[in-house]
Amino acid sequence: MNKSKKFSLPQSLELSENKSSLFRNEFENTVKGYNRLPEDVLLRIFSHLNQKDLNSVQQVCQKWKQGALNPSLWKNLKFQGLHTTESVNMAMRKIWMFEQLEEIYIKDVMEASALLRQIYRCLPNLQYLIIRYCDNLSCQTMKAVLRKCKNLKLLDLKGTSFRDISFYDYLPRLEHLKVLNLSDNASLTTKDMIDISLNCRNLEEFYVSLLKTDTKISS
Amino acid sequence: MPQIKLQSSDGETFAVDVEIAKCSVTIKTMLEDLGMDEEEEEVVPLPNVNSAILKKVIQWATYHKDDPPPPEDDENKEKRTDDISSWDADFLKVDQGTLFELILAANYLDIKGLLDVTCKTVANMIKGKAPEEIRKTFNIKNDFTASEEEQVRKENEWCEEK
Repeated sequence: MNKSKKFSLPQSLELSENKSSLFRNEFENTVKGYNRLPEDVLLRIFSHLNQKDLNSVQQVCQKWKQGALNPSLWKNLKFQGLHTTESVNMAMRKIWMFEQLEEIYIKDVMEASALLRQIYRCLPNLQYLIIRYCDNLSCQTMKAVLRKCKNLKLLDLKGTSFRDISFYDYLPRLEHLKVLNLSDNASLTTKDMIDISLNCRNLEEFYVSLLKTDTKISS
Repeated sequence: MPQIKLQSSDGETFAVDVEIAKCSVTIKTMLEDLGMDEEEEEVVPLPNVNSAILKKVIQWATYHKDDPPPPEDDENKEKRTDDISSWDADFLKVDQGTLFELILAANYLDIKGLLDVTCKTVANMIKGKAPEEIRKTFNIKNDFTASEEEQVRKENEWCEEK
């Protein structure tokens, strides 16, 4: 019964102390055992938590922090309201740490281009990318994302437009793209929309805003 | 119906229908491995489970004996925690120590359904709480130094809900 090996002795048993404190420790370990759950059980519990809860859990104790940083728990990340270089650096570190990320949401971020560069460097298998209302994004950087993240299934650029309209010609390169949102893209022309509908062959849903409401163009 | 006897860590034995005992993959494997004859009155020692917890586990397994086998873990499936049945929710209205022991027992005995529902219950108790509240709920000691704590807090600041 190999299973029983999972039950290791409590780590902090103070062997040097006398017997009564040993018993006391045993008692405390029963009550305070939650920081000693086996790693796989901890991950099973944490797999039910979202990003915000996982962040709280990291601040509970060393063991839980270690568990909560397991890359298998991080499939999606949301970056919102990053206004300092320090916070952008933290965000870049997370992208580097969690290589199994499938979905990233960016909104109201100071250096979104820096984040995007980290994304195409670290996450070639990213599937869902949502970049809402980020002005001043470098068109070159965005093109690099499209070149490197070839498996994107969803691209949502609502309110994130590019003055260099050659960007839109790049979209058909994404062979797996199924959902595209280009609402509130000021520079998008009717011709671009038609070209995209014709050239993105696997596109199933395409959203653009007309008269302030999102309109779905069937392709 | 054939029965086997399960012996808890504190020496109490429980007679259980073999079919119910077999919801524990650990016991099922052991019975198959050892080729235990169901005619003989075998006693299966369970040195990691005390009688109070074993009683609870048997109660759970008996109620769920006709359940279909739990689905395999699917990483891509959305994880839900609001699908705990009312019987399970009532069953798990226990103190933290008991819940903790039940998780360990479910893990040791390899009873996926019980492990799932106990883990979900713990997840629900974590959701929406601040670190300090979580520590209080589960009676966990803060083992960070002040500077470590500050560092972890900083690392996670960027994703606080605005």
